[in-house]
Amino acid sequence: MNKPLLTVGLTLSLLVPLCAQAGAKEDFQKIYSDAKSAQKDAGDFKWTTTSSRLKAAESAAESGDYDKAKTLAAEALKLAQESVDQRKTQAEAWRKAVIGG
Amino acid sequence: MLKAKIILVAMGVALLAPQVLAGATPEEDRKETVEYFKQMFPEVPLKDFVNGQYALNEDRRAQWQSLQDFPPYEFAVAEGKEMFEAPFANGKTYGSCFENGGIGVRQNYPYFDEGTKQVITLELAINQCREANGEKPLKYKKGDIASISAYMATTSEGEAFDIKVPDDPKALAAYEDGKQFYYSRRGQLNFSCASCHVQNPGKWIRADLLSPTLGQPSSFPVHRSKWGELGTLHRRFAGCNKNVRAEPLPAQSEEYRNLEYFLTYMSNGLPVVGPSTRP
Amino acid sequence: MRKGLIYVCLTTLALGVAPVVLAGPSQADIDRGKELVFSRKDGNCLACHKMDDGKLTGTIGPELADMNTRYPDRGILFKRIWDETQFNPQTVMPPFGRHSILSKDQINRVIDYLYTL
Ligand code: HEC
Ligand code: HEC
Repeated sequence: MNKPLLTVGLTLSLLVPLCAQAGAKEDFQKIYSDAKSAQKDAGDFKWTTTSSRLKAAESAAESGDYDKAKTLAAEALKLAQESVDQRKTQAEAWRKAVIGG
Repeated sequence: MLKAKIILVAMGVALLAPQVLAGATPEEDRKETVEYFKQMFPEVPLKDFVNGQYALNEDRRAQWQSLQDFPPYEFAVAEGKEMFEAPFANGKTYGSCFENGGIGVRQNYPYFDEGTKQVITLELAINQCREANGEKPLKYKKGDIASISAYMATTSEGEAFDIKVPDDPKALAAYEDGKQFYYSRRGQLNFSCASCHVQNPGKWIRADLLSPTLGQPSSFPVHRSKWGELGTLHRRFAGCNKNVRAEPLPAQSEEYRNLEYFLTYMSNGLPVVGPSTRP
Repeated sequence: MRKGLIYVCLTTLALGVAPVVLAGPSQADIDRGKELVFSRKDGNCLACHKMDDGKLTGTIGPELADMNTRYPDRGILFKRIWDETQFNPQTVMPPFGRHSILSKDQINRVIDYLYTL
């Protein structure tokens, strides 16, 4: 589950010094939109921490700080993916906690 | 590590059994729930579970009772009564929308409406009544709706909750949905409602004493000192969701109504005691 | 330089001493760990565990004490804080690492502090 994230992270950390600001906006937009769609996929298992990272990323982008925006969006993406995992595992796991069940 | 694995496997096996049994009827669920909490708290009389945390701790209970002479919600209840009795612009009153004029009906909510195939809570019914009479709906978490709901609860004081799951697959699905919500882990902190209120009632989480599932909705709406006012059950649901870093759902969303349906069914037979005070 | 490092590592390994033990946490690491454990928005471990001089501690989890004797293997302690559900699927202890509640570094500081208990 973390592998693609790790790859994203590594790629980013390699790319950042190379293309500095140039690609930062596009990078941000891509990660941000991935994070948004993962958050949507979480359904009624959304985390408040994801929402606040998304908001913070958005306002960093509005003020033109795309590096910061990107970092925050990447954090939001990771949290959103974890909440999607939670939704999927709970679809069955909840039964194991039921009283007498 | 190997040891851990063996434990995990053993647990896996132990946990297989429940799954086979799942699919119990609401009434079987309720009986098992009652039995579970009776065993956990053999010294607590069944009806006392409506007092939540106060049923489980003498000190807290004594403190709480000393505050009951001048309950802080008294004024709100009086206002609720006034609003309940005041005619809408069209001359009708809330009473016209409810059985028995809305007096002594709290214990029958929420119910499954076979016409619209959905769970109707008391607060939803209050707003439906307003809209049917050309009035704007009220906000769901506090304020007027909490006062009206609190007044209606007082007219049912001591009546036993009598929630029904009619013989309709949609009704059963709504109940099951609420049950699944109650037992599903949510939020970054990974708690289900049951993690706290089934696994750990009677224990302290920081300075809060956890109440059991049984009797949980009986006192609502409640006046919390933290809120400084009355709040509805769905406001509490939202708070408990947020505390584990889960996005709350809107008050009166289908999810929360189904949750209330399940939760109140578990309290069938226990008396209506709302409104009450909580920390 | 790099050769030197490798040599040092090999020696430590050969001696069977983990580098961590050699380094030992600084007082600052330990203080940071305590801060994370006590703070409500980070570890908030006191919500469930009695320990040290913590006030208003919860009773959901066991008291945390005597960690050196009970957890000679730091790796196990790390794993339990990372994700206790791996050891007990029904636990209510949050999976601090798996759910990114605390970072790897933060968990290590928490552990530095726990070993002083
Ligand atoms: C992290 C623990 C925790 C979780 C998880 C949790 N709650 Fe609570 N809940 C509390 C605490 C603490 C209180 C206040 C003390 C008490 O009355 O239990 C409370 C109170 C309540 C009350 C009011 C009880 C009363 O007597 O006034 C209701 C109802 C409730 N919770 C429902 C829920 C539902 C439904 C969920 C799942 C969506 C949930 N809780 C999840 C901790 C939790
Ligand atoms: C919501 C309650 C809760 C919180 C918060 C919590 N724990 Fe726990 N913890 C438990 C429970 C319950 C256990 C018992 C083991 C189990 O449930 O599997 C436990 C077990 C442990 C153990 C093993 C216990 C032993 O004596 O060997 C350690 C170590 C531990 N927790 C550390 C922590 C740390 C560090 C934090 C904060 C970062 C923390 N816990 C936060 C509930 C909690």
